[in-house]
Amino acid sequence: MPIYTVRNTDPNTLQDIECDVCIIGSGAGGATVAARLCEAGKNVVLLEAGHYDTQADFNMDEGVAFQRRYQEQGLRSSADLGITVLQGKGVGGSTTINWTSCFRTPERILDIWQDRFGVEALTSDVLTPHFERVEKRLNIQQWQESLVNPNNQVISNGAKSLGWEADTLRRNVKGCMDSGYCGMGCPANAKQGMLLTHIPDALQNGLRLYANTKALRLEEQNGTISAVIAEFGTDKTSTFTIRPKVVVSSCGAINGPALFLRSGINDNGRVGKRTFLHPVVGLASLFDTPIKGWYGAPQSVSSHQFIDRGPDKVGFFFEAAPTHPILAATAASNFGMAQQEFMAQLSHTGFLIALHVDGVLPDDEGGTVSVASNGKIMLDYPIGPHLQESFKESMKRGTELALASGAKMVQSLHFPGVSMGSTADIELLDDVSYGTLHHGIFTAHQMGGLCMGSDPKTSVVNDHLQHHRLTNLFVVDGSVFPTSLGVNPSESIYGIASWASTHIIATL
Amino acid sequence: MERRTFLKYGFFGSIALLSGGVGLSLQSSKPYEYTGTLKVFTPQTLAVLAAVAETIVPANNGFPSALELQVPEGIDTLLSGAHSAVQEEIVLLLGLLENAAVNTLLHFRPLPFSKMTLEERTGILQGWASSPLALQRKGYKALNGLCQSAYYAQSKVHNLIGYDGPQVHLTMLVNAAQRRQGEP
Repeated sequence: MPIYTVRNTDPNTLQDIECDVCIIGSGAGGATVAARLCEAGKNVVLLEAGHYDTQADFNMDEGVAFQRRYQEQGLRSSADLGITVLQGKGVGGSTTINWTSCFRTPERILDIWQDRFGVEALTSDVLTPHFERVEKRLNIQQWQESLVNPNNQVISNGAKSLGWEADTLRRNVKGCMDSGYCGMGCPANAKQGMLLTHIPDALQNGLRLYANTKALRLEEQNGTISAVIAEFGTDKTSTFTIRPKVVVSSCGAINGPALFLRSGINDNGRVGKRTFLHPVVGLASLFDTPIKGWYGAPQSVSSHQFIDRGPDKVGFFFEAAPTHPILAATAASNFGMAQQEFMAQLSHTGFLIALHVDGVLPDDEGGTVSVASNGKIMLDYPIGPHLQESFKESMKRGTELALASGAKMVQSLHFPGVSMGSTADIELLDDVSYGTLHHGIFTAHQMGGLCMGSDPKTSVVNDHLQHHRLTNLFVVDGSVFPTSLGVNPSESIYGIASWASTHIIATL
Repeated sequence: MERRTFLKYGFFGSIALLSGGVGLSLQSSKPYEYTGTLKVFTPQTLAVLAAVAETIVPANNGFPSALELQVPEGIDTLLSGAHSAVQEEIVLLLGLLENAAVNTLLHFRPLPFSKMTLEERTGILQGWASSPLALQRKGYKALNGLCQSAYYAQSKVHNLIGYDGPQVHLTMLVNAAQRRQGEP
């Protein structure tokens, strides 16, 4: 069977299409569903707004990577610019540019989803065979301790010294060469993201993949989605129509709600609500010895020592972030000579990040995605008192961790940064402000916005990921999560997408 | 101005934003000789951006200035693919920064930003970075982020920060691949 892909084509040749299933978005959710549906012999069309870049395009140039393979050319942020949003764009979605950290969905999160949101169908027992299947296909394995780079050793060494929990994490790689360029597209074709696994699997089984093709809106007729209106390229003139039996929205927790809103699908006002980000704060640690945090697996150790801080506190976990120049320079808040002095020491600087588990406290509604009258997608995410407290605490504990691992100086990402050379200096963090635009805040994990749940009044899809009213519309990506996870989300999306595929097939 | 914008920034912030819009039309900026063709900015707006970029990355201790590396032109290219709302907001922001009346009111410096000394410009940006006004902190973050991105994207500065860069890493990858295949 010929492999059918559209990357660059004459727009005039585009014709309206009929198919069993139209999937919008080729990341962790969409590609996994495509692979399963094509395997079952279904006629599937997959739309991807970004480019179809492959190993030959992955030239390790950070500037090029941000512009081509990240949403909004790497400039996506919350509306107030307080939160920098790192999110992939292109075939494979964020799995093409993520740092390969894999975790199954934690049991305690599944319990919260069941108890508070009526998500009965998703249990560990149900998901286990799906996790096992994707772990085998994506070669998800524990990273060897001997290969942990100095940037990640900051966590393992510091945690060991303090008696905290920390462990090497699992990665979806095969033949990794430790280049450290995961975030720009793997130059060694070692990352087993969607680009090299579920996408080719689906193509072999007849998938029609349209890259550079954006779903503009969904059209509703008689209680079902009758058509997807798509646009090829960027000249705004090449629209065509897909008429599927079933539509799967897999374009992520920001673009997904935006697609629904552009289409006028917002029955209960819940579209775009409960958006969660695992908000990240960072610390830069200076060492006498070289760190060169751009080499090696970007993330290979995590510490969940503070994941559960009690009923009224937001938990957090520690991981590392690579220190390529643009990422480092934009993370640091300084400018002028102070910034140049900081950057001149980059090869001896480690980056520690704390990811905060939002949405778990009962009153935490997270952020909101909306679409402005000019068409721009807006993300509003208030940083409330609970998160501010957690930011301060994670910076304190992170400083303690870095100092215990041998850092001679730790600096927060405030303007100006708080510099701490000993544990006695940690109390300096009591004297500065926390929250929006007081220090760097980032997200690489966007979740929620089209939440699942049993109550049609408070959720968008049911626990089989089917829209409450439009029965031929499914949502399969991180946007269905009713809370954040407390772990990196990619494997949860793979597993849940694999499971959801069986229900989608059953409707055809 | 949208109601949403007014509510977010309040009365003072909105007046400041509006004054940014007219600021550039009422005064002359220090010229900046750019290269290439502009896609987003006018020559006058680019001149303000050039003053910002030189303040954010001045020539210092071996680091070339942002102007030596055509950072303003790089930002123009970077923003050419951005949503028009983003482009418009950056232009407004530069207008606000350049507005001499606003600078007199807020900073007691009756000059367009582009005509201030480096020291004066540094003081203004420091004030924005730690301002109690979210609008100014937002403006600083936007301009600083754009300048840092366009500057550190360039391989000419990588040796100054100890970053080996893609070329060295490519050689390492090829060598590693050959070793794994058992080839010389």
